Amino acid sequence: MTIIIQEDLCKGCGYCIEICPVAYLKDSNKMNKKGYMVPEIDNTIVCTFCRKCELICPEIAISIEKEGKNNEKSNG
Amino acid sequence: MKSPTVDELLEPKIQFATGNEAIVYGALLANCRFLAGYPITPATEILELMMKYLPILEDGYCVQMEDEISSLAAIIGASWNNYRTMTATSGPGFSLMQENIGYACMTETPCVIVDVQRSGPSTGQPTKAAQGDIMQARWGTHGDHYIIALYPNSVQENLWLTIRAFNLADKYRVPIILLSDAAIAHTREKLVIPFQKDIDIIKRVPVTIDKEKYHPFRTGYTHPTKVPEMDKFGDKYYTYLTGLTHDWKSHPATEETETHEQLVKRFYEKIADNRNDIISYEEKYTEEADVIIISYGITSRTALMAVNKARSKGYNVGYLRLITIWPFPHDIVFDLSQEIKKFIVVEMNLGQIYHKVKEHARGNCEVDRVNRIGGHIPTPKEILKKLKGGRISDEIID
Amino acid sequence: MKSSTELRKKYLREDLMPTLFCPGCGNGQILNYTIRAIDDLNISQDKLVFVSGIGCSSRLPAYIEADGIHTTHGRAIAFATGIKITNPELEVIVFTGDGDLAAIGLNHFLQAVRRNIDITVICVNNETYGMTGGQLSPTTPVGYTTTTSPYQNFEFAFNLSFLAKAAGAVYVARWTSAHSMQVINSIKKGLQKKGFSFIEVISSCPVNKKQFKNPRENLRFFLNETIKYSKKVQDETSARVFKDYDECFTADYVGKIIIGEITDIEKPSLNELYKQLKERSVIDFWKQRER
Repeated sequence: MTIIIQEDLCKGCGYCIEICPVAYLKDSNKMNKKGYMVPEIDNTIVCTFCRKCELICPEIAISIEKEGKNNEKSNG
Repeated sequence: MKSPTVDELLEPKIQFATGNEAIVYGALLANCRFLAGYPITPATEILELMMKYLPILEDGYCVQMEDEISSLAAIIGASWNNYRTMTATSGPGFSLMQENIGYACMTETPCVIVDVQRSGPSTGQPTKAAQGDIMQARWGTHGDHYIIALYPNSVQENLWLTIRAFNLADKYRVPIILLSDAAIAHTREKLVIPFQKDIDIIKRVPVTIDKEKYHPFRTGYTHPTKVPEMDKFGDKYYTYLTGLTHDWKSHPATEETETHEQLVKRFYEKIADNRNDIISYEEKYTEEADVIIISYGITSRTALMAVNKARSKGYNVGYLRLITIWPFPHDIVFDLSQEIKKFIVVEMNLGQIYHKVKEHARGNCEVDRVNRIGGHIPTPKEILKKLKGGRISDEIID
Repeated sequence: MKSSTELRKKYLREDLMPTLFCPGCGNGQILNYTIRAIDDLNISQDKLVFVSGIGCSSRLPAYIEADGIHTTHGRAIAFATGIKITNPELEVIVFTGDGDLAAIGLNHFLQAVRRNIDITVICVNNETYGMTGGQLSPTTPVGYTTTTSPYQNFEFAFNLSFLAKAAGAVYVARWTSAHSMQVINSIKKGLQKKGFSFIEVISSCPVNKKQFKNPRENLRFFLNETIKYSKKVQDETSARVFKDYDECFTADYVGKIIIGEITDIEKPSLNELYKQLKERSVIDFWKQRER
């Protein structure tokens, strides 16, 4: 299982960062094309794939998928 | 048990019926199967009869809604299930419906709205006839829009014009206002009810293109017309409708001037380009007339009597009766204005069609009027008096 | 549950993305929940019709690949009545907001509940008029400052879920936009139930609601400051808990939100009853004819 964040859809609300129970997602200095600050992954934490971030996102920008596809964040 | 057919339901075929009853029979013959309404004098009988007849027919539904606004909303929604739909009201209810009439124009939804006019303004004289909603029918809703309005003058014509209203609605995808008044609505006359096979029913043009190429408001790619093909809810084509300015893909385009212009002009053009198909009127004795009396609806009954009486006394009078009120038949008015000395416009209001006639006569001839309000139908004697040059006691400066 | 990528592809008009909603808007979350609920139930997209009025929440149908009708302010439920009566096969979902539903549309809302039309109404209640800049709405809690209540709101607020229950709705639930699984499950339950289902989702309006510094603070509030509905709290006339009126004007008033499934009953829907009426009327007609 892997987490894919569609950065061009993100509006930087921070809900995913707030709701993650293990702090796998955190604030970053990265800005997308529209000027929103997108979240980034903390590689020291292990994601439990609880899918809370996928459900809470108002832009449906976070996708939890089976391994085998692109393992990195998609830079749409 | 099996539902009866419309022919079986509407028995006997010759009846002594009221105008409202004729509208109901015409609607059922034209395959109207949904009405949502609210009781209001003098249109209540239409709702009551439809509540009785529609459930009996196959796929027929009728519901009494909580007000006129929701009545029109319900019939617009139902029209998108490929239903022919109708509602009936009078002046105060018609005023309430204006916002949704604009919505029907913007989404190009066919529906028939019967306005049985009564004396106004406001609650006015609920049981008395008037012709005060003529301008409201054209301009009641805000913004630039086009509707078609028809106005019969006899019980038999009520039936035929109702059928025509549904055909025009489906052909041009526009709301049709079927005007009537408290007098014709409650008058009883001989009515001959035709068989359904003897009626012309124009169907909506359905969508047949590939699903990927479908766009709700694109015109002219399968047929050379400004009227888009009409989808229905519940099939493989997905249609999004909105009251916002939209492009032909039906995506909101509120920031685009050109898109708005194209859209709203197309609403005008689809009617204006087809004036010859839509407009109808009745003219008598107009070839060599000096004076022509213009009237419509209930006043045309007494106006014709006045014209016949005047002619028997040697006056050179002609008669023009408007059947399509909107679009206004300005071609015939302009043509006649060049041949005659005077138009006399007889109305049961303080002058509504009078101004249109004056505008299109373009100063070629005089335009005078006979106006009566308060529920009093202008008598042949009064019209004759005006014809002979009687005192202009009803001159309104406006 | 499918992944977001698959759901976006199947249910959303991707050429219109990203949505016009502000960052952190509850509407986006409700879009997320609705398409997951529809997908879980395997409802055919051909049979879906979304109806909406005017407001931010009413922009939702434009994004979904299905029939949709964006109508006039407050009248969405009246349009939905006409659509559902004439085609009972359709799955009709109404998106509306607190202003659209409880102010101008209140009459149509209660009448449709009374008739028990088989539709599912999802009310995105952000307790304000979002699209026009944050004015007072009939659900704005007592004491809140908005652009049309500059001296703090002194009017009592509606409890929409209780209104729906009192008028006779068969399924009523209130959650906040942070309660993802609960909202999805309530939408599923509402779609499967025969009759009028009402799901009220208390949402954030990050741009106009001045009570929170940022969307994350709002999310924390939704997750922590709620009370589960039970018989003990049933006499509250507002969606928020308060001890007395004056408390609402003090600076430290919190106003916990009452959430939960408010009602779940069985009642015949309008379409069922109309079908019976049609049969009766035909029998009556032929009986009359024989005479």
